[in-house]
Amino acid sequence: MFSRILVKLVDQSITPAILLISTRLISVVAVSRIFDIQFRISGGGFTFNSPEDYLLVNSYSTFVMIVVLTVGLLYILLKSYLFHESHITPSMTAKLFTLRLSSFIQSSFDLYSQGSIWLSYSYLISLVTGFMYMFKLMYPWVFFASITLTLISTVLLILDVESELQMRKSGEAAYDDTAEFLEDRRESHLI
Amino acid sequence: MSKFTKVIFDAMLLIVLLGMLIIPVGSFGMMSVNIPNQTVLSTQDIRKEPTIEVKNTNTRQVTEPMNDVVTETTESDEMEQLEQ
Repeated sequence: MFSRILVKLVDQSITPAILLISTRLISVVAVSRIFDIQFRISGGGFTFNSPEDYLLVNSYSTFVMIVVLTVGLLYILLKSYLFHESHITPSMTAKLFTLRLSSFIQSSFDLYSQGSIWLSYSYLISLVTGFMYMFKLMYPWVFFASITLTLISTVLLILDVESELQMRKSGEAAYDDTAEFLEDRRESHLI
Repeated sequence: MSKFTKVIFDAMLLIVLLGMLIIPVGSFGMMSVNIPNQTVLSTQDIRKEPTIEVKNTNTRQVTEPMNDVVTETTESDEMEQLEQ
């Protein structure tokens, strides 16, 4: 069971990791071009000529990363509120099947593993921006934007988890679609 | 699969997961600042300029660095200024 969760988390973390790294690289180059800032690419990465240039490029490129994180978290929250397998409305289900978008309907396991990964990235970026703000390596508004996004998305995801738990407690049928139970029984020759 | 193998497999997965989480955050370290002709200062570089101490107790002593002018104001000067 533990391995299954970990494999799922590793699987879900690949896409946001690649997305965030490429966003960072592209945004550093783009911001430098926009503000006409000179930089050198050496073994240690991007080297800027003055601390002011570094501060500007670092702040704006981090902000672009936060925007990408916001889009990702919004997508997951939208799926968990509207297209969650456990509480999707029949009319919405019919619409999605008509539009051939049935893949939007996802289980709690998929949604919460995705949500936890994206939230982890959000927390880590908030932590790093906080440290950089403390050492005057980043504008304060970048840190505040990051912490606001993290707090809001955490609250919204917790609310969805709470509604899910209440639904389970209220006695409605909850189906476990994993084959683990059957596999365990088969291994112990009970089936 | 034995329990020991499962634990090893889980630990490896956990390390991979942590690596995946840290990689984007590590991108913050790929930027640096190059300051040309940077001089490194230390506390030993601070020059201590000698001061002059005037021994006459009747005069007000103004201690200044050696390259500056030492100003001495006597009591008689002050009296003259008051009379004026």
